[in-house]
Amino acid sequence: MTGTKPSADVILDGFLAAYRQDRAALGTYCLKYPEKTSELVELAYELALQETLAGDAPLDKAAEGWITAELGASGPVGDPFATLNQTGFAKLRETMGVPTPVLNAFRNRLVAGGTVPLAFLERLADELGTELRSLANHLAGPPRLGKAASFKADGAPGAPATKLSFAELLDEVGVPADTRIRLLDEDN
Amino acid sequence: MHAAMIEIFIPPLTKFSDGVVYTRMPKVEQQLAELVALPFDEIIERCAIKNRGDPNFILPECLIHLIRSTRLDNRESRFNRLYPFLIERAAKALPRAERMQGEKKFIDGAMSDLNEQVFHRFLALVTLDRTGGDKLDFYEVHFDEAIAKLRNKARARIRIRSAREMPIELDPESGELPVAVELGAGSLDPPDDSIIFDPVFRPRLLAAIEELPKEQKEIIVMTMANIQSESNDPSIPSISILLGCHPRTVRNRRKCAIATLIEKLGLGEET
Repeated sequence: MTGTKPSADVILDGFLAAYRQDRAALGTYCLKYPEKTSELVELAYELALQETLAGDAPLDKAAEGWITAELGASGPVGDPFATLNQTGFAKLRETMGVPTPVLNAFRNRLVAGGTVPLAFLERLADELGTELRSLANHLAGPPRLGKAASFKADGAPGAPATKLSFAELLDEVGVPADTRIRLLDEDN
Repeated sequence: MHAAMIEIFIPPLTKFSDGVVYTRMPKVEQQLAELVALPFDEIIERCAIKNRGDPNFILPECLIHLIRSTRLDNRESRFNRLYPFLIERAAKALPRAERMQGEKKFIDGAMSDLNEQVFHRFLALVTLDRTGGDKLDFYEVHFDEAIAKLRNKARARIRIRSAREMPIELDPESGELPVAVELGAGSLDPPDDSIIFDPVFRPRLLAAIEELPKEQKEIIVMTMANIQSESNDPSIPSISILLGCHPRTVRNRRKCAIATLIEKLGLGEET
């Protein structure tokens, strides 16, 4: 890992940890990563806001409402792929720049959502016309058997017991090396 | 009794920065080691402690670790008992949108909307983390800062959408504010930047800073972090070097910003 360019997320994490110790970190990080200056300044502002207005103070009524709603939520999780027809699927495959088996793995929950770069998940959720949370909920469900797989199976068909990481999925599908790098890039 | 004991293996985090794995703060590691020895029911009792000053308060970094340690459980029971406390911790790390000013309660609608987005994004991350990955690693390192980062990202997304709503146009040549704007904001008076550091004004000041044009906000935030305005040594961080503008531009923008802040805080007549 040494020598590779850190992702934007890793740079910001480093700054946040350093700024907690010493405010001078804002200057040193801006100097080291000039392209991130605006973002670092905004983060410093955000921390000042948090320091002043968060903490032990009572929660807003609205926030209490979000918590209550979340804890009371129940019912089946929707399938964001459910309404996707063949044309829509082909378009999605093209927009996302991935081969069909990769999208199938997302549809059939064969991939561990936590191992997929957020940027990819956000784009996928956008393209599916859903929220990140809904996509996350869908992926959290157990793996299921794809429609096409049932007639190909020799014995009784069954969904795999475990999920693949995103990197494993890309390897299994055999995506080209440059595509693999692009898809696994946290900043893309 | 033994069955009720929580079996926590405290694995190191897996996310890397510059070849070095993320590490938890010593006080987090220490509390986790202490929690390992407790029955799960007792951990839940301690989760209910809300006051951060209480010695038995469970740090949010530890709580997120406890939640993550249930990933391999066959049942959801431990996760379900910890989850309400975790999401409350997340809500508590958000700046409050409701403020009392005298007898009146004010609600900052924009802040509340942003908080709601962040809250739901956090829930999405927790859901994703149930299947593995390192997305919540930094939450075990610095929980509050991780939430602040989520807010920052959400704010950036909103900013992209409303990029066309630039309130004040800068001179494309000099990058400075038009003279009329500076005069209108009273920039010819010497600025009194003590309000930036006065905790009495801090809540309202921060709201006012958010409304400043980006160029002025950057200078004020850097000033709050004690970054000097200018320096002849390029290796020493100065506002002028970091923003790539002339020291005179920094001075003008700061004057203008402070004048605006003083006005917004209703201190104009007293100065």
